[in-house]
Amino acid sequence: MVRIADAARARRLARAILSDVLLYNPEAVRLGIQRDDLFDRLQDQLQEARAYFEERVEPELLQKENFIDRAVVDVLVWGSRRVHSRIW
Amino acid sequence: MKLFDSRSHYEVLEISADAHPEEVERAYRIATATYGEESLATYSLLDEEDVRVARECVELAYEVLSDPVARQRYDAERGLDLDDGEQRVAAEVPLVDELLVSLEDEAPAPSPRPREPVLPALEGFADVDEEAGGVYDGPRLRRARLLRGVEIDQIADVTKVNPTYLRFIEDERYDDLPAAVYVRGFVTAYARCLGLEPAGVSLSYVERMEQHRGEGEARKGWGR
Repeated sequence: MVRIADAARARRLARAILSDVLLYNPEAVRLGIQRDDLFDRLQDQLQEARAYFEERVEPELLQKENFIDRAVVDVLVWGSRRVHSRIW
Repeated sequence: MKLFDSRSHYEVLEISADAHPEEVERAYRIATATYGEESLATYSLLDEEDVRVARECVELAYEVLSDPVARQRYDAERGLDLDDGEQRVAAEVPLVDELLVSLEDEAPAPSPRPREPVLPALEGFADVDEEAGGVYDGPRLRRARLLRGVEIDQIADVTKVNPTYLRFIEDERYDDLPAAVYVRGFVTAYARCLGLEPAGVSLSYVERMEQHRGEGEARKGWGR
């Protein structure tokens, strides 16, 4: 299996995976933002997303940037910016 | 005569409230042809402004009625009865209004239930077969999409296929998809968008779907 060695492609993969996490868990994401416990509430989902991601990306590239955490902010948090929450 | 913009979405497309997805598609094509810029059907009958309003109403009606979730919500607002399938879709995909509901109005957390895979159909992600050919099922299409770093909404933007249907295609929710002829078009557009071989992918997918639907019909037959 050929792993992704290009950072831009790795970022796209991370965003696509996190986008699917949001697609399949919209209520959990909403509550996670609303109650400021996103990482606890989505612990399993994020672990699984990270595992999928790391299976496809070169280990050296994984050391350079935290792709998944960045995608969490870009996709899950930004995507929920209209949810009422004390975190804003 | 009722003003165009005061008609229900069903009246705009001239279909009944229980119309199947393929009827919605067909009615939309007819309506867009009728109110198209070069249409002779409305020439001299409607002025430019009327045609513009009609087109907007048709687009809005199609946008709502072609999306199972939006349609279910629209029907509920109008007090129409829903069938089980529509209710099921609505239960799984929260509505925008629900996303904005305040904390005070919130229902208690649902009782624990066996957790389904977080990212269904992604098992085997590491062993994904990127070679062409073979059977293209929903999980394989999804893997191909993710490996290209493409989101469902991006495919929907490019192909103009409703994202709910794209998700149903990946999840192999055959019973929630419209007739095979439409699914073939959706999958062809999806495959083209990902740089897959469109004809082979759509043929493979639709064959699987029709096989499943055939088995479903056969099972119903046993129950009679």
